[in-house]
Amino acid sequence: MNDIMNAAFIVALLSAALRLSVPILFAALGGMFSERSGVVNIGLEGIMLTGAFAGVVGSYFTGSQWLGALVAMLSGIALAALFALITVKVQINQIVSGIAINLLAVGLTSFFFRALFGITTTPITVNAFSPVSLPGLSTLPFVGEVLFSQTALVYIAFLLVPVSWFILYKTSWGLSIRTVGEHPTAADTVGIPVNRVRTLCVLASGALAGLGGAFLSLGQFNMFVDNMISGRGFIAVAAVIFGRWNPKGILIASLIFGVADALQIRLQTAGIGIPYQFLLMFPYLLTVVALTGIVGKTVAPKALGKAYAK
Amino acid sequence: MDPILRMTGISKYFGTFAANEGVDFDVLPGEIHALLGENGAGKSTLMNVLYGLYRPDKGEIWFDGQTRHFASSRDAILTGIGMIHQHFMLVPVHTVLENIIMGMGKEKGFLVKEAQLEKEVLEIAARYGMEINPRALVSELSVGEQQRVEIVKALFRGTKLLIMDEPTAVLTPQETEELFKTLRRMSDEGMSIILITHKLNEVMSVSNRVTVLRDGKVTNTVMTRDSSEYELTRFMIGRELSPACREGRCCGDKLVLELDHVTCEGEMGNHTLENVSLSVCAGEILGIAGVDGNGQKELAEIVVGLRALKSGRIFLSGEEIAGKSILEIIGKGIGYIPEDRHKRGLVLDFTIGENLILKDYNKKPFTKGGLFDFGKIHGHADDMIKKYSIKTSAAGRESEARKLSGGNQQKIVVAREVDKGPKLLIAVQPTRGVDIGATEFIHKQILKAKENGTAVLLISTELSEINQLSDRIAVVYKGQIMGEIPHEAFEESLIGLMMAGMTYEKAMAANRGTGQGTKASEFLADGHVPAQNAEPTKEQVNA
Amino acid sequence: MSALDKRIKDAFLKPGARRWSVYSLLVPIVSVLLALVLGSVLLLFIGINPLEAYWYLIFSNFSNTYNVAEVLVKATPIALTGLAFTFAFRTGLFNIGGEGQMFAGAMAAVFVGLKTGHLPPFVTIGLCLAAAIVAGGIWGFIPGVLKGVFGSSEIIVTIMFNYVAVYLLSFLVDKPLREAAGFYPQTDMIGENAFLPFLIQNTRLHIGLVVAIILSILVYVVLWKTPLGFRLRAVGYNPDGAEYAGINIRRNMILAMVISGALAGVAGFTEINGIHHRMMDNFSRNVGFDGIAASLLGGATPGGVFVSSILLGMLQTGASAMQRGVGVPANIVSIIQALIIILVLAGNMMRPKLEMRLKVKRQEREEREEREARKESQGHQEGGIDA
Repeated sequence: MNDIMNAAFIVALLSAALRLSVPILFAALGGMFSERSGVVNIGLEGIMLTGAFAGVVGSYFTGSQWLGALVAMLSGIALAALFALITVKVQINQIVSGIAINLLAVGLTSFFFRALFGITTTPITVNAFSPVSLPGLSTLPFVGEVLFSQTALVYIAFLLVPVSWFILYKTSWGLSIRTVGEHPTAADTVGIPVNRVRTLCVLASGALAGLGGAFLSLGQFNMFVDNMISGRGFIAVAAVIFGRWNPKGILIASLIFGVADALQIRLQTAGIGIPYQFLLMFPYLLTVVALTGIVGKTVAPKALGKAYAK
Repeated sequence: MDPILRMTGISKYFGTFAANEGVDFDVLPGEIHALLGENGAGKSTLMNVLYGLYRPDKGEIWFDGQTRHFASSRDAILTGIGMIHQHFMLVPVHTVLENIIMGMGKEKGFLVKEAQLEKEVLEIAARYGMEINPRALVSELSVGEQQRVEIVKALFRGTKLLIMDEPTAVLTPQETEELFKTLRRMSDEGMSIILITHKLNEVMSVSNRVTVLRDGKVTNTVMTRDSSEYELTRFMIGRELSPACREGRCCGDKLVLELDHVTCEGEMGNHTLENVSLSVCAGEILGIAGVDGNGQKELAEIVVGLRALKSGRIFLSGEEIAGKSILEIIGKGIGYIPEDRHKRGLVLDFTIGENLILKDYNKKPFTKGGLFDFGKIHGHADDMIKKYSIKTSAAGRESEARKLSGGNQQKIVVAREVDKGPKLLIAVQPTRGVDIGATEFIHKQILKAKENGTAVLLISTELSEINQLSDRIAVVYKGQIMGEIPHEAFEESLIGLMMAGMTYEKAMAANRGTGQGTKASEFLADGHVPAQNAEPTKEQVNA
Repeated sequence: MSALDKRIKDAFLKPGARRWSVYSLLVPIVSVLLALVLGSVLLLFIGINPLEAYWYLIFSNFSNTYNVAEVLVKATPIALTGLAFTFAFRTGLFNIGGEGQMFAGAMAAVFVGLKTGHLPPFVTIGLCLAAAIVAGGIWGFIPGVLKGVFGSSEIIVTIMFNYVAVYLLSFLVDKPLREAAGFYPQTDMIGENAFLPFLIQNTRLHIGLVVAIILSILVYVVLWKTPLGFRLRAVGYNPDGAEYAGINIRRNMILAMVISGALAGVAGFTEINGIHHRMMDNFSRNVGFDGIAASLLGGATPGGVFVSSILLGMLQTGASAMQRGVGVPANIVSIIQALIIILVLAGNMMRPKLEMRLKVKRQEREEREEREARKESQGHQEGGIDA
């Protein structure tokens, strides 16, 4: 009896962990492209928030969660375009710009939420993503439940890992991105348009972080509330560092954060002796530990954080 | 024969400063054309204009049959112009192949087809007699090998005209000869080469024609064989030089700095210095010659405590200083002109006055009762500006160091490090990137310090500087001292062999074998100091 | 350098020549106006007359003493967290953790206030302040050490510590320090002796404002007039250069983080002892981030920070009035605030370029005039050299 309980517990835990790692994975993969090209994007937090909001709005007005996700990506790109403009073109410090973008996102989402839906006590309901069982695979014991009974966005997120890897290491785009992040002057001398590459990478990070936000609002909570990202964007930035700027590492980092988050929720409901607030702290403290490099030293792209001016 | 490149009336301004003004310049097919001039004469600007990195304010570029307007380096590359910069434009953490093919997505396809590209690269290298390993990481290569990668990178892009910016600055004399062989072979195959340099002997030995720039303008273009080093110097500088002169020798008994079997490790756990033993006396200049990156920086840094040593001992006036904090060591009377003034020597956003007290900011008279005494700080700044003729911007002592020229920035460092009359002065590349006027001035300051009894450890990759100032010369290679000779025995070929990794004894034998010179061996055979023999041509230039 | 060049340089660079200050005032003023214009687009979008809304936003602040005092009440903690960000920033560190450090200070202040509130005011207030300084300092010390020892990004670590502080606070008011009545997740009131004295009767303006002013002056003096500040700024501008001069980079980075955290901790103290007199979940949210905004707007100088905090205080109290008056969501100030930051920073970045362009243009004109003057004096002998 006890064994069955444990198995069910673990299936539920892992299934939740997988789901919870998805928003971080989306944003971190985006952050990876941005950072590989030399731009630190701590605006991911705000972009995710915007994506979460825009996803709900898109789904509400079109009735389609897919169009909602598309709107989320577009809104992420729009905010990222502003970020690219001020960091790559005007060359304001990237950290400071990220803070400003986050502040802007908090304002914009809460303003428009009230402007569109008024001040409501009951959250508005929208069409959200529901689990898609992959025929055949989902019936597999254990694995099927954990891996193959998820929403479409989960599959997309995990598919993006090998795709990102391929782009980064097997194509001329990827080589250009890596070169721009390591040695922009060298890139310039062989005719790679440094700032255009960076802008495109930042836009990509916007699209992916926007999608990550939409996953939270359309695939997980099925609603929008103020500040609902609560640090996941920052954790994504940490996951990029922890994952050593490559897709495989980032996948692992995201999964670890997913497990931490799932564990925290499960333990809360399990009613063990630890106050729930300490469990809530867990993912954040884990991030701090990850950053100490105890898990292995990491080498950042050489030109990370430095604007490129001829 | 029609030239492949013709630049006419090129002018380029930065703000109000004319880096190039009305420059005419042309290159023939298959020609090695030297572009000669001091630092800041406008060589690099002219070439950056040609390479599409800068747009000229006036003038025309005609290349390979038509007028060109390059909006970016990509345009220049596409028409067949390649450039190898002084600092290699290679990504250390990428492979050789990745470095060669980067930016070629449009030509070679979106997918990187490694096997096929590797074959192409090896074919090109073989055609010019170069060996490279496409799979190696650039960070694993020697400087000479990295340069080869740069050349192949240019050839891979179908270069017809190759610009090389100070290509020998980082090479040993032997590696330089190797490079020149490759260049001659390329020119035989019809490739045009522009060689940017300020070294006259290189101009004489490898180029067909030479154009001399001074203050952004062409002073002359001549056939190399019709000119002489003496004449070129005059074109380049426009006046006779009065080089700083050495006088006197080591006092012999007052030992100031002593390194005893010092070994230190680099970041990767390799030995950057191995078993180094050295000593410098009061009133003596010990010159450390060597190709850049053979442990010179580390040598200076372990003495002042910026870097920890693994084994060995360091004494300053008989007192062991290894393991003490930087602050303690500096306090014992060490002046240190670091290799890179932007990285180490200055805080560029600080004013001249602040930079001058960088090491004494918390001492009397500048600090009193925990607060700064600005009267004293400003007074000190004014004194130093006058004494070391530092040209400030209009803000005077309040000018930020960033706003000054390289020469004046270096003068701040020299003033701070020399003026207190240190026991020991460590000068690393004290005149790198500094114009000739400031170079003379700095050399004189170093000699003055020596006359006042300071022990000087001079580390430089410029053999002429070493020759001009040092009483003794030690050569460093891969962190080891290859040998030590007195100034009287200075001979470029001998030092060159040692810089390439031969121990003193082997280098002597090899040098005798080639019959290039026998002076050193004569000197050491009978202990007799020869009279003022004819020195190598370099000396005549300076005379 | 030509005489002309020198003349222009003099005009721009001499300390006496006050050309710079015109620009440095111009940029923030234009930015604020531009941000308000952009904000009015949003107001029009929700069908509200921007002029009416902005009337509330600005003039409600001056309608009576209470409102004016309220601006300063809001400005006080912002100025303190702004100083905190400034101090670390000048040492080359991004302390995004002002929020968490403020909460740490608040937790300590409320704890001490609860335990010692019966002692004479001078003692208990002093103890609360000291506790807040220590707690904020510790909350800055940890990221500082992680940065110094492991090289962990202080940016991410301080952000993470914000969340840790929030949950710790939430735990405290939920369990160990929950009020005796046990009804709300909040603490009991601290002893009345621990209340900060009010500056103006019948307002909430308390002596914390004076603390903020004193600390602003102190930060200025320390950073620019003492060897300690010299050391910290040297580390901020060029750590390699500082190391070369014998300055211990790690120790100074950690020190800067401790002081920065302590300054933010004081904000927690003024909020608890001056305003709320107890601690609850969700109090004074975002003050840490507002401080960053104030520091960026104020050019990371103590004086600038103080002025900017008053501006932000005005926006916030004005926003509440605006929400009551015309029903605009108060969150619009977050948008305006973010826009102001972006515009000010962009303006500062573009200033040198604009000035260089102006300078070259003026010089070209003067040179042309000079040439023409010369030509005329030569009697028009040669013309059309530079058509």
